[in-house]
Amino acid sequence: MIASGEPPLVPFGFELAALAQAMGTNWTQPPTVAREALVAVAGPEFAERAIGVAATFQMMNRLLDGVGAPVNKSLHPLAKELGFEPLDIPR
Amino acid sequence: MNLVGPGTLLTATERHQVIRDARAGWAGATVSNQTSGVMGEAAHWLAVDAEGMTEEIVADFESRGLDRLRYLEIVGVVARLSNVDFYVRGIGASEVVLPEPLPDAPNGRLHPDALLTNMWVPTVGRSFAPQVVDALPDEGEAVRDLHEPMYMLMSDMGDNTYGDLLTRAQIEYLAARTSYLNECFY
Repeated sequence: MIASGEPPLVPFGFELAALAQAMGTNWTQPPTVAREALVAVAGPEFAERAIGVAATFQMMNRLLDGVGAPVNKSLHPLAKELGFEPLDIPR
Repeated sequence: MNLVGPGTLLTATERHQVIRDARAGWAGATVSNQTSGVMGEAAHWLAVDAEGMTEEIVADFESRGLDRLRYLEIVGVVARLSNVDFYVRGIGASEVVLPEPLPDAPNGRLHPDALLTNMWVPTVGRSFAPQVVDALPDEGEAVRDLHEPMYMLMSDMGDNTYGDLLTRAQIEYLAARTSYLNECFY
């Protein structure tokens, strides 16, 4: 949805995706622009809750990748859809 | 278990070094801190490229003296640190400064049923995401102490109608987007 330019079906989807992107790809700077955009449309409490969820998945991703949790075969089609070859994922 | 205190197998000083090495990676270090040895390598790569970890890399760590349970403790420390640091940076606050390390010895408490089965580290029973470090029970509990208030209670995870300030769809959208960026397909 984001790649195609179509609006996400999830309310505030653009702002939420931008927040996750800013938090996940720039590790030295606060996601100020993305956070303020989300605050503007959804309020500060909503933005703080969203930041907490995104931060928690930084933790969960590292836990699962760090211990070698196997990728469930049911998710292989999804990996392909996202451009990854499931058998190349080192799990 | 306090992130900066003594752990199960690592001292507070060792955990502090893990934290410094992970933070250095997030700050732009392209290679691990050589003075931290194999523990520093683990901390660095778990911080910046966890999706690139492989069984072979973990086995190599082991051959150089970092056994699987101490590796698992580093996984737990770096993962929890990422939650804390990304949250703090996210809300625009200052990075939490490390205190002086406590001199207490690690508690050594291991789960008696932990076994090496289908993952690279010992696990307990059929492990779901919030339980993957339960071979170190205090680390496992500490993971859930972050996971529950910042994501949702374990008892709510099966409820697709769950919502609070965010709807379940918004929560999972954030989770999916973050996991996609990290190339985590679990």
